[in-house]
Amino acid sequence: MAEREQYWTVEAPQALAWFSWDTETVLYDERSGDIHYFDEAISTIFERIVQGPRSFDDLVIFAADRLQVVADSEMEAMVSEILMILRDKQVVTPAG
Amino acid sequence: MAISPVLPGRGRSGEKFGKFIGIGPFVFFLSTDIPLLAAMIETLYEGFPAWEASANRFADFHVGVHRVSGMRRIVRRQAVFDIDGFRPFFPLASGQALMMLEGGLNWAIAENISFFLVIHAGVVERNGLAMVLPAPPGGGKSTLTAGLVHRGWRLLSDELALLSLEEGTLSALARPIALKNESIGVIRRAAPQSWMTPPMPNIEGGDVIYLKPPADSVARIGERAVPAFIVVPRFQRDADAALLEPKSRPQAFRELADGTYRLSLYGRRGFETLAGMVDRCQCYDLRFSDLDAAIQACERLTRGALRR
Amino acid sequence: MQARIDTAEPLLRAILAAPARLQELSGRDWDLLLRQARASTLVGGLAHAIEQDGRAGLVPPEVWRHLEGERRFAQRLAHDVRQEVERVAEPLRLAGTDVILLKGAAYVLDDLPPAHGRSFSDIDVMVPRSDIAAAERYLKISGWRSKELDRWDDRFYRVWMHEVPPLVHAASASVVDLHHTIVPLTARIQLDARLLFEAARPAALDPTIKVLAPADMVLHAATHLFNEGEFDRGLRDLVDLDLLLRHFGQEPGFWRRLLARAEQLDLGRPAWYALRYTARFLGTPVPEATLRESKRFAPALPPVMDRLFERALTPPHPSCRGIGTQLALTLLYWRAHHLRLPLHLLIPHLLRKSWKRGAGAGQVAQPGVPNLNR
Repeated sequence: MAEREQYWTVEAPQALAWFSWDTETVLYDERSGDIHYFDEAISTIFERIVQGPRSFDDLVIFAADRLQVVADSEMEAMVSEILMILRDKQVVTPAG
Repeated sequence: MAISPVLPGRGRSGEKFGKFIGIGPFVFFLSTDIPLLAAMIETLYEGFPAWEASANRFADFHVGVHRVSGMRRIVRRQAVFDIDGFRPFFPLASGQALMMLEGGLNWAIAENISFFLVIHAGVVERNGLAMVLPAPPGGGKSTLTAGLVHRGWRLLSDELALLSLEEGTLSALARPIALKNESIGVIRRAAPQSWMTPPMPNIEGGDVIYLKPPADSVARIGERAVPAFIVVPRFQRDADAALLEPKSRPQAFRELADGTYRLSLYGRRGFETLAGMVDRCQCYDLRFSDLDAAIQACERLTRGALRR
Repeated sequence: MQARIDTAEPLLRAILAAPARLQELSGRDWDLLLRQARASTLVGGLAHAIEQDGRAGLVPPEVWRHLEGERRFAQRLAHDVRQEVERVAEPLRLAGTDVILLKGAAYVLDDLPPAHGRSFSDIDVMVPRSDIAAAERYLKISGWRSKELDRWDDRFYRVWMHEVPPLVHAASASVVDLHHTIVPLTARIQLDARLLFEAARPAALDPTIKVLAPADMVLHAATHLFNEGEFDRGLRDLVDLDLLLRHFGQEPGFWRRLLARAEQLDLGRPAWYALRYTARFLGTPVPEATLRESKRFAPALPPVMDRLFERALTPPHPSCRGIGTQLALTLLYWRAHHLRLPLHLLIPHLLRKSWKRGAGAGQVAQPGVPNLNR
């Protein structure tokens, strides 16, 4: 599946607890006992995925709109990197 | 059944002082064979619920400061802290006995309580609103706490904030406040009527005294408080008199989490309780060089909150 | 007073044997019970025992909050142990060696009753002797480091004990002890560890991890308690044995297998002690037939050993350990070391240990505000 069409979803939502304040998020993962701190960009992506499985394309458009920038290749690179960070922390996972 | 019949606090010769003292949500059995320490306990913990050693009571902890036996006792006059028969610290000079006791009580609560979140922070209350003062070293938390308390704020605690996992409220200990070095003079001037112990040498150098908690705070120990403000005091000699700067909640959470003893052991519940408190509070950094100005800034906060 | 301290049944032990007796307790008794439990690291274990017996309602709230709080902490720790085990298991899988998980971590991974309310320290694993060097190497590649030890202790561990010196993980600070048998190398008792590996089975919660067969698990716990001479956790170890025996005792043929295995591994004496003292002090339902048949493993003077262990298997607390108990502990300590070391090594080793003890090792520096980095 091409990257753009890849869907992303929250991994183990029952093991996660979080608080979102203004632009940032603090997240607890029961599995590891770790606490993660997400800045505005990461929080934006995370919160979108929490609402339901999202495609990469959807995330780029949503994030660009939220952060009030153009949805260009730089934006795509940022979203890509954020997804990698979240995947690495086992917070999100590819769906389907 | 032939249960081992040892009574708490007995079994040691020369025991001069031994009492159950209720300190907030806990009961401690305090004992010592050092007369000066016994006298200080009687004064500093005046008004706290107390029971004689012979009382048929449960105590959360048995703590004491006793003279070290043998040669050292004669040559160096040393004393040591013990809790439930265990000695976690090296002995110090007898003159520092109160410091050992207070430090030991802090340790007992911070490292052996599993039914509150215990945070290294001061807590004061005014108009029904509690203010949590996290404690970066040298930040002036104790000075500010002592200053506020002598301007009529209720003292819940100087060192340890007790946050309930069930209700999210803060419980009071109302224990003596430790002041060091220049703070001693500052508070003496600000509150000349308050009772202070004589200075004793601090472990890290300099002096430390203990300030008797106000009777009103002691009388109201049972009142739990709802957290409303998190204010991180940062004393800076060359700063403005006092400046309150809003602080991001994630940042406040991080600092509180760093200051919570054994947070990982509380698991998810600990996270939700702590974040829940931050969620409910207005968060600030308070940079100050002048105690009065800092106190006024705090008072403005609580007045402002009432208006809403 | 002194005489009574060394002869009376410790409160904690009496309650563990019969939780219904909680209703006899008054304020002072509850006070003593909690302090004995703390000294024995059995606060969580006591909570679990009381709950299992349905007696939580007998405990006053100011006491119960301590027990329940520690039990919750223990639950979190058990969860963490599973993660820590993976940090050990992964490099050993790469090393391709046989691995058996031992003791506390095994109780967790196999979902056994002693896991409940427990505090954990090191992770103990056993690998075949021929694989020890490779195992150590793979662990070190994965971020495990040797603890700092002086030359004497390092040599003692490697040559005379059954352990590689403990390894500490750089990131998580957990500690793993690598074993290749369950008794020390120089012990009078020699054990063929291959038998243990042959009988090992998958852990209930993670089939990729192996644990000892039930009889072997019991015998290992018994050997650890009765042959190693350290009794700070003596009562807790006895409670573990009680729980294991009650749990495995439900399997048909277990008691017969236990004795046969004890004979085969030449661990009959610790088995005899385990059966005798769990039944006597904690009310473990050991079948009469088993107790009779275990008599062939009994020591020369049972009443003497009874008296010694009756004192040693007590909370390490002044309320139940007087001068008489100190003597019993010293004798058992010597006995254990005699079992481990030939005399010409025993004397220098004990001298060195007692010198170290006198130098005051093990105290935290200063009171004051507790260190948050702990």
